[in-house]
Amino acid sequence: MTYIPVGTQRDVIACSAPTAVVIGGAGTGKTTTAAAAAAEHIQSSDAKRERSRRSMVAASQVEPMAARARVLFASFSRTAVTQVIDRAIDVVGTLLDRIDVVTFHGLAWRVLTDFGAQYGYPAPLRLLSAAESKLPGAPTGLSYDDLLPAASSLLNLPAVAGFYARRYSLVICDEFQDTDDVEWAFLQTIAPNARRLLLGDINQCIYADLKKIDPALRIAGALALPAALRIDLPTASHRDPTGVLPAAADAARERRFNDPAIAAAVADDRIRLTRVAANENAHEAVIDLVQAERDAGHSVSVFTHTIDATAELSDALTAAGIRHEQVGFSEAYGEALKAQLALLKFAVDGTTGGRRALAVYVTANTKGSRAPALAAQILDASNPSFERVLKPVVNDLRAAGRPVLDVDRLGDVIATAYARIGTHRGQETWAEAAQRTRRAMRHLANGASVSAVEEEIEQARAATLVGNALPPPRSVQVMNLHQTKGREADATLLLLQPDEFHGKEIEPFPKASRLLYVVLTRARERAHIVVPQHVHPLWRPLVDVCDSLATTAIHP
Amino acid sequence: MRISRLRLHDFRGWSDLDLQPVGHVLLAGVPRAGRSDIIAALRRLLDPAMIRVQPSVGDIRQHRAPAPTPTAHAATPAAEPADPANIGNQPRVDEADGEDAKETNEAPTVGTTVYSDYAEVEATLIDLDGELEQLCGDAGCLEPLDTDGQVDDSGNADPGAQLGVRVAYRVSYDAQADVVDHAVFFPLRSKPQAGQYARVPVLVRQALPVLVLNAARPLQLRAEGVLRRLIAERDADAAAAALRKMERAVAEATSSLSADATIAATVDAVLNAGGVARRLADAPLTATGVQFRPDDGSLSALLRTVQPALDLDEAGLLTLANHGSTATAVLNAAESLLLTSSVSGAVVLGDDFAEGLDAATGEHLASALRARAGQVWLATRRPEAARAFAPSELIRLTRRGGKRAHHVLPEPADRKDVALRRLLHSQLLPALTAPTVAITEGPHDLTTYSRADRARGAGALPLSAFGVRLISADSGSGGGIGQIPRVAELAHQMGFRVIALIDHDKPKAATTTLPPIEQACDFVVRLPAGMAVEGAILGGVDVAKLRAAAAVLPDYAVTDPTVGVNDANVTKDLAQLLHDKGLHEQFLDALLDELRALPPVLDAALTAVANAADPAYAGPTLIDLAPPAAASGATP
Repeated sequence: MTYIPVGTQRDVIACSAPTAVVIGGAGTGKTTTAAAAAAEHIQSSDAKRERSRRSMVAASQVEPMAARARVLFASFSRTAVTQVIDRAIDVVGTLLDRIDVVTFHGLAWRVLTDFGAQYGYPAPLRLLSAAESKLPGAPTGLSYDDLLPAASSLLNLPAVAGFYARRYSLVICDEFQDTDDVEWAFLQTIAPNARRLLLGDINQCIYADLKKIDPALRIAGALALPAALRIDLPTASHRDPTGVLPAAADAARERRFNDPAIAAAVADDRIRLTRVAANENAHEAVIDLVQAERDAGHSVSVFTHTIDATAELSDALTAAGIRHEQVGFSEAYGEALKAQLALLKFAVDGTTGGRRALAVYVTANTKGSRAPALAAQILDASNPSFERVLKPVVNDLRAAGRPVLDVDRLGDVIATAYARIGTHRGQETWAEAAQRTRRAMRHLANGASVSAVEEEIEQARAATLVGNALPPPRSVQVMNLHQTKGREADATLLLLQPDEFHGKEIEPFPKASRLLYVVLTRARERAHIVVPQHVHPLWRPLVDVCDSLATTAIHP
Repeated sequence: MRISRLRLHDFRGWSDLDLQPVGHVLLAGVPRAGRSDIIAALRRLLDPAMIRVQPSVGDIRQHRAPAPTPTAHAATPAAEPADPANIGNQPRVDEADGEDAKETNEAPTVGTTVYSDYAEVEATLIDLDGELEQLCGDAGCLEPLDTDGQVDDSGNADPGAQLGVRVAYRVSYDAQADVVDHAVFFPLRSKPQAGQYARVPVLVRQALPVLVLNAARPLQLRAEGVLRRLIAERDADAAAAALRKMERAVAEATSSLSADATIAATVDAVLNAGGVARRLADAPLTATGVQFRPDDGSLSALLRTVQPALDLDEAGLLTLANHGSTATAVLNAAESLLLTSSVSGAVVLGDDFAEGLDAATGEHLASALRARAGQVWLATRRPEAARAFAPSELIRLTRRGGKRAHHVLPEPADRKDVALRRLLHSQLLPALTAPTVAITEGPHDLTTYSRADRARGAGALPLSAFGVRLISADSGSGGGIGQIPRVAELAHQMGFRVIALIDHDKPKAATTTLPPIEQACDFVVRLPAGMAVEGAILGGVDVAKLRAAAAVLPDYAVTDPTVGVNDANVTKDLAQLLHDKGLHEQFLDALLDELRALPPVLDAALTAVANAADPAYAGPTLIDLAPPAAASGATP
């Protein structure tokens, strides 16, 4: 798809204001336009640099030159930005090398690993995941919450600050209205004199309560920056050029459920409701719908309300043989890598630590502020049935590792280990991680020591935890509602649950209604809603109006 | 960019070298002391042209396996006699070469040489240009520096530190598999022992502002030529267009040549001759199927054949090769200069610098490169190049008993030191490639001994054959015996073996002047008691010969003092006159004509110096010359 900027999108690309606040609804091409602006910035800087270099060469008097222009593109979800930049590749092209697309935590992690060793954070730095902290006797390390403050302290040192000031001449922040105070302050410490391009949409702020932020205040604050300029993007959606779904989404956000836009979307089969019959498993309905959309050649994103629901659905999809990506489970992916490494080290040289790593992985697949009982039982070997299934796995690991290391066989044992020791959640993630582990195990096949594998896996784990690396993308993605922002798919599927919690808000749900907007604006073709018998009042009027307008499918 | 530290390990002839230059670097010294190895190491690591070059096992130090015979050690001398290393500034000796040194004194074990496991070169790069800094930052390999430009890995670096980067090259040899492997990597993120390398990306290696001076033909338009690079730096598009235009014009010219009636007819005749060429193709081949092209028809082939021609004098246009080696060397130098000016803060590497250039051009080129480059690393055997450098930028390499060492002058401590540094340019520079200096007291001593040395007969080799360079202790203030210890100290700091060649005419003063000289020098050669340099000329020589030689003095507007003087006073009066008028060399010249041999004391003095210069010399450190045998008709 060739990107041709329209209307005020062109103003964004041509803008040279120190701070530009770009406001646009879902699908108005904020991110693509920003990518184009980044490309334009780099190209014009390059041209200027080349002119100056040539005139110096002609005069045989070459002075030191600044580095070529580089752009920081910070966002909350790396997948979202990568998705858009991949599509805008004809705009950005090879210049992507000079656009650092990072999450806030990913950037903080880079600052810490690149410069921390000389300034109080000696290598190797260890990132403590949430799952690890939930278990007793956790190792020491930097927690997720430590990252931004620690990186900020480094960025206050002239040596480090200078490096980033010389590096970036343009800083773009996606969804900046969602930054909390720590993130916002962190953003200001990076190349403070670089031009700012801040992309925002107040209607997409679905974290307001979760993160205790006020998006309207953030936007106002940005606009109060010196010489800040506001640019509103045209409302046409590139996702749905017909405008049917965006119009319905707007109506739903404002809870105008009798709006003709919603009626039009339902009549057009752009919004399709599927009710799950009583005593029926909602997963079956989802699987059938996903299968049908895949058969039509569509990419599918499935949204649930909670991490647990996502994990359960993921297991169901795995059981049904549907390859998919569990978005937002990067911690589980990272901890699966870590657990597999632990099994590998045990097999090769008897190093202990496998129990803790497995317990952490089980914890990473479970929601809640405390580790599940099973994790504790794994740690202290107090669950007889787990111990029973663990034993043969241990024996197989030993046999593959010693006295002669059989790399292929060990890879197989590790890949299947999690399935053998229980029916716990996270099979799909374990399988994905096993592929990555097997790749790292090539070092062993090449005769290198296990430390080479360990180093690679530890790096992959850290990169995953801070959002610098991702599991391989799939055409079917499963995520909870809060990970939907910035993503799009041909078809979306919202699985509602009977026991949803949406805070203390009541009708007209001023903040929570943004969720309706977000889920209805992710789809290019069709937005499915799968509903149980009982629907939360947040969704109920929308479900009711859909019911009244069309013959709702009942599954099965 | 600058290199603030260079370390070699088992690279070619160096087992371990650690250089921390403060500014530019001029590598000079005795032959085979490792100058070229250092430049080669830097090229392996930093020269973008090396990206596609295969590793060479020749880069890995080769050494004899330790001799298995237990008796070998008994044959080894306990220590090197009078090793000058224990005097003055300690030279940094390449310790690990000790086993080589040992074996040069032993009967060599034949055929048991082994390679070290690997060779490694590591450099700390500082003053990085903006883009290079960011590229290294991409790899997460920048490190804060201390005020000396060295990596500060204390974990407690200065918050405002500049950033630098370390890069390394390792070539390893697996003797069992007979495999040579190499890598350019960031040591900060690598574990070479475990085979884990954070390789320096090609993009970074290409961005290194490193220029290599070479002796290739100048003014070359072909892709590898410096001129071509300069053209591209100026305007790559215009250059490409001009070359394409020429390619088209040549193609047109050659096709019209091929189509010429006479030529085509002749080609046809060849193709038809006896049907021999008939089977070449399915259809019969005719002249229209034959085209003439320069070489293989490619642009690069065309550009290889396009060579510069210069119109320098009435001979008119001549190809560069016909103008002689100086024109080539000068244009080469000019290209290097322009290239250096086109790259900001370049590190310029050059081996055998100024070879082929006259002394003045060599010095000028060195000085111009030094002014325009971020840092130059030049290796040379041409001492005049050193005049363009500050004393502390000179790194003198020596080799003694198989051990390589390098010597750098420390910063001057006081004004006397500063004055002494002047000696470096006037006296020590010409001696750079000699292992040993013999310090004489002053200018007359130097001219006398130098003249005598030139006159040494067929039986005795000149001092240069023993690696000895004669210098004087005169730093512009007249020299004198008291100056010798300071000059000796300077020479020691530069790694010379130092011999003093002194008078013995003031026995009382000797008790105070001699000890510091003995202290500062490796060896002292002292004239016979009562003699100064004049005595060395005159002592033991037949009076008649002296009188005959003195006849030359009126040529220099000086009255011959021997006229009307009895034999007993000839030597004394001549000595006084030579001393007063400074006509040592002129008189010695005349005397040599008369004697057809060296005066005995001068001969003995030079022989003693030559003996002491021999690394195997094991005699006393103070060598007092014996008085000459009384010559007929003379009183010594």
